[in-house]
Amino acid sequence: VTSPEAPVVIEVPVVIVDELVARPGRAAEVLRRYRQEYVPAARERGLRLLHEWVSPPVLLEHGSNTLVVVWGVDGPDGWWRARAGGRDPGVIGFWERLTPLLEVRHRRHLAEAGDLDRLAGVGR
Amino acid sequence: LTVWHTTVVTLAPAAQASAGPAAAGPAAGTQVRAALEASAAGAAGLLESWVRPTLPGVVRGGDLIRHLGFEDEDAVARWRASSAYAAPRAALTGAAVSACASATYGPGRAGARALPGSGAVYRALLLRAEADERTLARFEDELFAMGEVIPVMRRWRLSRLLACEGPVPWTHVWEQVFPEPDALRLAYMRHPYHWGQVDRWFDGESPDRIVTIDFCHTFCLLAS
Repeated sequence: VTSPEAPVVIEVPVVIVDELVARPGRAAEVLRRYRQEYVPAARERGLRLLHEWVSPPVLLEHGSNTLVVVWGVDGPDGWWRARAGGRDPGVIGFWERLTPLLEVRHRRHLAEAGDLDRLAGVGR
Repeated sequence: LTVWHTTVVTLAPAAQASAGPAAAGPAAGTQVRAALEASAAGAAGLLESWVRPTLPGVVRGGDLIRHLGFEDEDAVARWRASSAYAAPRAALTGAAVSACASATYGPGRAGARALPGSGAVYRALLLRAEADERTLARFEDELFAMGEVIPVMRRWRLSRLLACEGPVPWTHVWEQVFPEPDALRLAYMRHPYHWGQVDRWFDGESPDRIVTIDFCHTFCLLAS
């Protein structure tokens, strides 16, 4: 809800995944706008772009593609730094503008199974 | 069934320095705090009453928190109709106060855990959630589960509001008691269940967001 005030103390890799299911024929436009309008500001919030995956791996003119964009951040503090986007009217506006091009989207937060104990103990 | 009434008061800049526990003299902030403390004294059915200055780090969380517990809704109604409630209102609407908002709620769902030490930091998140009833139920279940999943709270309680006064029509209050401020600022904030699961209801980037951005995050020392 709010950002922690302490300096970064741990850097367990954390992954943020955007899964964007484009409306038929709109995947190329979704990818272009994501790259142009979202990626630069996200990088400024410390997000590292790891993958831009497309399924099926051919952009369809009449069918729907799913874009899976994978970002990396450094631990919970890096995650909260990236989370500033959720309070930024410019970022929120981007998602509102993209919504008409999408059938559905999800955002997920992941970590390696081997890192879960370290993550749960952060801050204690 | 206990009903709570919590008020968040934001002082005008000139009054802020005098609201803390070390304040002395007839400064405006001290008068506001005294008015809050006097406002419920002796009220019939009053079970719990305290006023505390907030700690640095609140978000729209004001400078003073007044927290009252009554034995039932009728007791709250009788208090609000009484002269004791009306008398300090002048102090709360005067030049020393820039904003005042209150929530009446209860009984809610509550949990508790034994933790070492005697410190206590009270935190309240007053929020507005906009969703259908099924989605609200999922949101409430996940939010309440933080008390079990994140083992750094002595007590926690999630309630829907019965009534609300102020600029934001809050719908819920999520209250917790932590052993010390860093348990809230660090352990709670950094726990993966917080940012990896529950925060999506609040995050403006998330397609699952239902909580409006004008929430009130406030906290104070109860004991140290």
